[in-house]
Amino acid sequence: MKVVLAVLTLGTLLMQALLPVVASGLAQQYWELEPVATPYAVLGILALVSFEIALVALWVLASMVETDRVFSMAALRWVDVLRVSLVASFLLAGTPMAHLLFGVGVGGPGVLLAFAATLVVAVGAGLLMTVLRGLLVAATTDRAELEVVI
Amino acid sequence: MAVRVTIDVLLAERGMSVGEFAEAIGITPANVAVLKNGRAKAIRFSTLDAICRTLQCQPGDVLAFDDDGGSSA
Repeated sequence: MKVVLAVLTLGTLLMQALLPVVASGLAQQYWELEPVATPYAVLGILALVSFEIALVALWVLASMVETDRVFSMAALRWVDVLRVSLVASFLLAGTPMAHLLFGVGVGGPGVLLAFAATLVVAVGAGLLMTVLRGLLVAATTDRAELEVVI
Repeated sequence: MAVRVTIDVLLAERGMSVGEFAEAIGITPANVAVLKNGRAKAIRFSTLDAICRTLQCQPGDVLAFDDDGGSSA
């Protein structure tokens, strides 16, 4: 699983490096979007950074599972980091789309679909993380209670 | 906690040290101390079974209850 995480991290870093290039290329193609190209690129990079933070949190949690330290307050805090950074990443990615659709008023059904999908994934991921966090809290409490049994 | 584990007398009668007793019933000496000091909050029946087997006694011989009217700790 850690191999998959490592590959994901490399891929994301690569995307982060390429994003400004793609953004400027697209800006030349759609000249009416020239002024918003840089802010969009910044938001995109921030979204990728946020996703990388989420991947780091996942890595730490995977290590904790391996060393059987996952039923602890530390793990809970990393789960919170994961949840916030993951949702933030999707919301940051969705902001340019929202601005494009509602602010500037361009972009056909493709952008609308992408925006809707991003929003759904953001909400879905947030809810999933909340449920799993509740599970971790319950399991940690049970473990603690069982630990005092002689 | 009003329920006490009274193994001191029986341990002395059997001439067993705490270390031997801990090894016989399969718990750490530290946990034996927790049991003796009345700080244990929960005990497994399997542990109680091992205690009774080792000391050749009834559970009632090692458990005592003082109704001190206090709330459960």
